[in-house]
Amino acid sequence: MSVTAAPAGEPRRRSRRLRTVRRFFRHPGATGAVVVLVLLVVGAIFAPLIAPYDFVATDMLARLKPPSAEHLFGTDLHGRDIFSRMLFGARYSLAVGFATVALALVVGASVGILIGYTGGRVDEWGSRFLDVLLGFPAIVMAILVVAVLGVGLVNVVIAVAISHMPRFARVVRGAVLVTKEQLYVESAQALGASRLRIMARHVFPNIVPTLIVLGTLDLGNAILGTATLSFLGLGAQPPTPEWGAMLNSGREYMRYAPWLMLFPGLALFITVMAVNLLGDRLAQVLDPRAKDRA
Amino acid sequence: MRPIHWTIAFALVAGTPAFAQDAEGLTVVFAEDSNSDTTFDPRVTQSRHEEQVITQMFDQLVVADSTAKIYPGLAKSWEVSDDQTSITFALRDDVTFHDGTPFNAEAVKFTLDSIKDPALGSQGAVDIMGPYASSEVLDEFTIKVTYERPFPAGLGTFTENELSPVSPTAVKEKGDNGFAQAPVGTGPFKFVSWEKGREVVLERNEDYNWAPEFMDNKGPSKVARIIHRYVPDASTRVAALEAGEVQITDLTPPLDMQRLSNSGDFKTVVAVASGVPFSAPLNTSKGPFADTKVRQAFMHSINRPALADSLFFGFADAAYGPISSATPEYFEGVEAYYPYDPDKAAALLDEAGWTMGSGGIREKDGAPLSIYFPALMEPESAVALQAEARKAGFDVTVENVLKQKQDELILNNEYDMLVLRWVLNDPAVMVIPYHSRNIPEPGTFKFNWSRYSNPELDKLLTDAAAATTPQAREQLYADAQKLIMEEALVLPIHDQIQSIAYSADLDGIRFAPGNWQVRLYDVRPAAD
Amino acid sequence: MTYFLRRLITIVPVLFIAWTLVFLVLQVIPGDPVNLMLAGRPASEEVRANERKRLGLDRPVLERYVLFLANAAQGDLGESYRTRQPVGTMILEQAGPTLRLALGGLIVGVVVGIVLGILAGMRPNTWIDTTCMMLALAGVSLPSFWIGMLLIYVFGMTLGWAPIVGGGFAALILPSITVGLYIAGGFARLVRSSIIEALNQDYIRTARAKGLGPAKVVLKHALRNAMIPPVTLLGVQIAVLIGGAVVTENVFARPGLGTMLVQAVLSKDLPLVQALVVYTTAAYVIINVAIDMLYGLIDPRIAAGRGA
Repeated sequence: MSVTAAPAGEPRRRSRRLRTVRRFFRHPGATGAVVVLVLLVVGAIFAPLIAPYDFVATDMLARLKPPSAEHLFGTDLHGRDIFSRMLFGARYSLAVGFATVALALVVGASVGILIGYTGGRVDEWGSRFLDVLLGFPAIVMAILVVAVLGVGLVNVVIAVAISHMPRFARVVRGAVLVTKEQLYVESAQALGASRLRIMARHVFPNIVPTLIVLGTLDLGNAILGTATLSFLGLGAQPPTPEWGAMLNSGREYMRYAPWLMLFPGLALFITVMAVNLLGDRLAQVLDPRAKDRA
Repeated sequence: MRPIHWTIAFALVAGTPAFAQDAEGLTVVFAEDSNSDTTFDPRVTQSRHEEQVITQMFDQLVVADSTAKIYPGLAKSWEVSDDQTSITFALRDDVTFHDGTPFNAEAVKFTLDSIKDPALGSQGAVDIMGPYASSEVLDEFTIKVTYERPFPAGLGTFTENELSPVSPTAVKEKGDNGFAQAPVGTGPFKFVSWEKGREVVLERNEDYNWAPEFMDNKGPSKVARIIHRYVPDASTRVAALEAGEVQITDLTPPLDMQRLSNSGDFKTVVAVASGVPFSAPLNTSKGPFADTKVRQAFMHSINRPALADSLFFGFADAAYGPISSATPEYFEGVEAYYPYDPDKAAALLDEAGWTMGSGGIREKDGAPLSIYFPALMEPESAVALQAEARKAGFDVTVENVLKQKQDELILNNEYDMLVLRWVLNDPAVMVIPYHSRNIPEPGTFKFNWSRYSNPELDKLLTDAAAATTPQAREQLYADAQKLIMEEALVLPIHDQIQSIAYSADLDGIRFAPGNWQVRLYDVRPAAD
Repeated sequence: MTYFLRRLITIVPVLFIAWTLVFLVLQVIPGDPVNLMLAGRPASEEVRANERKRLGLDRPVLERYVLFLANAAQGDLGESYRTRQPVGTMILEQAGPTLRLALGGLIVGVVVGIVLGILAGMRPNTWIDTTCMMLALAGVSLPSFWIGMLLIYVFGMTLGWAPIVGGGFAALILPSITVGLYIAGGFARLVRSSIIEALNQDYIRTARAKGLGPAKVVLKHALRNAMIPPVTLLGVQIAVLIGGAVVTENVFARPGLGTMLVQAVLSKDLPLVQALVVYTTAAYVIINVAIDMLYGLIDPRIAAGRGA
């Protein structure tokens, strides 16, 4: 962000933004998290340039080699370089996490706005419906969805998104109920604006900050959820080097090649930790109340 | 973090090995790679895991040793009628069921008739019994079993666990479902308890005195107690073996087999299972594999010996034919087909019109040589196949499907190749994946996944099963195997192996016919 | 008491929705239940037709739905397709290992969570606080299947300290840690903020002014009040515990409801899935009602105001 390029006439807003950014970085963990995530994103984007080996190329002579200068993180059963695979794998873990949260947000917000704004019977049964979904373990619901749709990364995104949706829907519904009471919606209604228009123009913008914070707080869980399904063999398909899937295939050789499970798991942990730190920090800086609702 | 250390210290005190040989005798804990057993009624089961438990508790009328030679079991002798439509068994008169009731001709009749009754819901026995018509009790210990038509395989079916006589009294008392949860047989071990998904406990039948003659042991087993523990994860099974928590593990991973047998504390035994080896049926009805040349090229492009060696570290060999080398009537000639030959593969693909495109994938009329491979089992084998085939220009898309998805794909003919394996100690197993009547149709699940229909092959298989002389049978089965290989209907990948590791303190581990289940009757402390 | 009853009655529509949902989803899952039950075994068409009839699958969907609701209303949840056992019995059999695992996980989670939360809450914004909260965050960031594998590798395989199979207490330790760390993370944060809030209350300040040490104040006064929000969290955690059981049971190859549920879903064992949903939903509601009542014990002031 270039300070000089900021439009003149908004000095106050700019300085507030700067202060927010400074507050954000005051926590040492937050700085670390940002560094980790930047490194990850860079690694994922430039994976083809950085990776020392082709991530699908098998080499029977080099299988199950421990970490060395030649193979930084060792090799797997088929002689594939773990480090190269993990670099490419970063693409999947991050993209899949973002996609999942985005989908869950959109669906959840739509459902929340719909039932919250319509109210009455719809709200009553809709809320019960959400309660049912909330009482159901997310992983089990995701497995149900995968059973319907079939295995695969895309279906895993949909499955985890659906299982995370109810929480967003409930928060949004609550926010909508509050917003609805506020005067300007009532006056818009009095002016004869359609429901859809009211939702789009007045209700939605009001809950956006909450959604951003909720989404960031959920990102870590989304990454974990999708990786878990891949670990259970329901997600990424060979030769896709998704981290959860790598852990799954390394499991059988754990004793002889612990690096097969050590590195992908560590990467997953560090990524989720960084995302969670970021989410926490964002929540504290942007919307301190959102944290309690998540 | 303090509480964690404390609890682990506690674990040290609490964990005592289960292996014990006290005054009561030997306790053997067997760790099995499953946890989904649902019935131990031999009449109902069709699961090789359930059979591992059933085989300890039940005897059969006739018994096969691990080479498939038939010995007297609960029947002292038998006579097959000349027209092969009936068998008369003379039964032992000194056998009792675990509930104390006598074993007799009525019990055999009850068992066979109840299998036929749809109310029982038999999944295996009813098919194994073939054209069973009825049984006639000639006297207390003589029974005549009659078939609706000649059934040359009849006698052999009585070696199967599924046709083990059950106690009629126990079935009537407990009902079919109750019996399945607490079975009563005549075998060397009695059922004690079953904690679902965790363990089954069996104890020695002290009255047992009717072991088949090829067993080393006579009378009651040296093993006082069997704990059959479900440990579906392979590395957990091995760890438990090393910790002394179990004494025998099945399906032991190759690297562990190597290390355990080198350690001196454990012994290992590997057997090649009979039946269909781990193989990939190629869909001949559509897509690239509809062309025989493409199938043949695919076979030539896979280095099967290297693949088997890399996946199993020398413990399993490559497979070459539709049935495994351990199956009766295996035709050695299949080993000459489709050696690893990339040049031949390339030539065949060129002939078939698939030319090398950019990116190393072959193309024909602008379409890439794509193979859709839904893989239900052995994901690592699929990865290796995918990588090998890619060198020849095949773009193999592997999808590790769930069973339900696979079933849908099969019913709707939406695949290019699949994986299949089958444990059965009979070359007639080839009917299941190669007879044209077994091509799946929407709504009807069957196993001819190559979707190959050829009256000549059908006739070979049917005639072979009904052959009355050993020479005719051998010739017909050899011809069938040749035909299947010439047509390249299936890529045999590797032998299915049952790899057992067990404590060096034990002796007498013995495979049941088919080389999958392990009979524990003969197990005894090792003589040092 | 009327409050309790009224809350219990709300289970009925919740269960109705849950059942209908599960019934619908299981109709949509591809695959023929009979075939899945046979798990690829070579049963003849005769066997298959016979099974279909036995399970009532030859009847129309609507009829099966109505029949199921009618039976369920009378407390008969039916027999499992696969095992032919009453599903209630099956669930009771498998509930033991899962409850033990859940309890173990809860104990690890609560103990670790309280310790971290108190340490952090007593000295907010110090390095102790930062460290404890980083640890708590690590707890919720750890992939549970990975930590499970690590524990098996280190304590099971390399050191040989913890037993690997078996159902005894010792075999419960590693799985409990696996489940517990996630719970500990969320719990620690809530305990921390509760403690900070409680320490700012007037009467606590008074107590401190009287010269009581901070540790004593926390243990004697603040903790009691600080426990209310975390206890609420535990009510929500029942779903987390069951979800954790799915993964943990898989990694540690343990039997239990999680394993059972996944198997039941994958084999389209409709009666079993429905029964499991009934029990988990009911458990969820009942536990939350029970927790409401627990408030009364922890803080009598709330009990008086509650009831509406």
